[in-house]
Amino acid sequence: MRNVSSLEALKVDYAPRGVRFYYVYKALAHPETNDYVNVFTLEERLLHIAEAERTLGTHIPWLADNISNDLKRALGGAQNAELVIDPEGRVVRRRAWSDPETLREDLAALVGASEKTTRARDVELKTEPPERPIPRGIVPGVEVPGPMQALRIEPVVDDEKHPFYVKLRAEADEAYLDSGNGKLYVGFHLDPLYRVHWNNLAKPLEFELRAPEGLRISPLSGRAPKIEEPADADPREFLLDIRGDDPNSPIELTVRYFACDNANTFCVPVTQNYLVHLEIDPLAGRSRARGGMGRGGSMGRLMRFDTDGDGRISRNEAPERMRSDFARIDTNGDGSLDADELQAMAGRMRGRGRDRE
Amino acid sequence: MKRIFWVLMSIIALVSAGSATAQRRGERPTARFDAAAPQVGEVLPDLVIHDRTGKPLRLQELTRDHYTVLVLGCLT
Repeated sequence: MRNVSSLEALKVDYAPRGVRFYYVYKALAHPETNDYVNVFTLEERLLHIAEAERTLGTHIPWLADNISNDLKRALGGAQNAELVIDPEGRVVRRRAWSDPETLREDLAALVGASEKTTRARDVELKTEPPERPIPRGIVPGVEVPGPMQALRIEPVVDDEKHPFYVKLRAEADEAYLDSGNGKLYVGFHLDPLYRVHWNNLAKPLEFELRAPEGLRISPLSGRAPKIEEPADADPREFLLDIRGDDPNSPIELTVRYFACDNANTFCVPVTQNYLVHLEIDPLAGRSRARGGMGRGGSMGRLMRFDTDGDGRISRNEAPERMRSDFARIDTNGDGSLDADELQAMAGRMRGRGRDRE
Repeated sequence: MKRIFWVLMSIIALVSAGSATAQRRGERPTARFDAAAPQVGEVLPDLVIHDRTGKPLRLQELTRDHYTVLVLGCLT
């Protein structure tokens, strides 16, 4: 999330003048960044808020969009919209992307200038990094053919109400969307909210699909590879062939896996079901790990460090081993690494035969 | 009909992707927000959202009687 310090500074200055500030938590813009995945329940969304408070150190209170994402829909799917509402409930300022500098001018015009001007750097935010104790970067991801579109999925909640420790993400490629013949991505991602990992001593994840009439998928089942390391937290990903269109029913998916917590207090077999609807989900966000980059490639791994989701890696976001070379990689000198600069760096690394994180 | 739906959704998605490309150059997509969000002067929709504990709140009630700043965000 962008501009947190600047927004917190505005609250310091304008809360005394009666202005109320809220963040509204909504569906993820870029799932899989820092391994966060879209939630299925309000309770999970509230856990995301707790995580945001902890990792961003926010003081402005959070609200949660409902699990149908009604507010995000009402704002055209905006990721970082900013609204100012007057005491009669009317919108008096609105923008698709939060802009604290302009917001300060707005508030000065609406309620008068603040008595002092708190700067972003004056705000002390106690931030903590996401907790990721289990190794990653062990299991290669799938290389997708190009940009993928998220499909609407519907988890089937059973009577026991097992948490979805592992969350499905389904995507289709442009070839399928254009011609009815292409690729279907199914990825099973551990939800870090539940602090679980893959116990590689147990049976690997398995899934099976039931395709509706008029649709052909191959293969209809899969099993994750056997991994030598005893534990990891990488997604288990599969790329399937899909052919056919206008099915009247969704794809049915069953997945079986062992859910094992990081504290080693439980390791239980879980069977869960989903419906995969062959329609784009415009609120599912776009994973930076795919879209032609592929999670298994260096670009996909690098973009996971983009924690504020702005498409660039700042010096603060860069992993330790990259910081000493930061100025050299930042060829345009703007203080952040964009996709072109990262691609160039990844290309140099591959050229030297060192394509690694 | 569904094929037409897919094509339209693909175009929308590709425009969004193109907008995302523009995003890397400093521009940000605003078209859908501009079209969908309440305009200046309009009343905020009376949607149900939730406070930090999960208690449902009505947006209009939350924002009544004082100026309110709402900023959408998430962990990514």
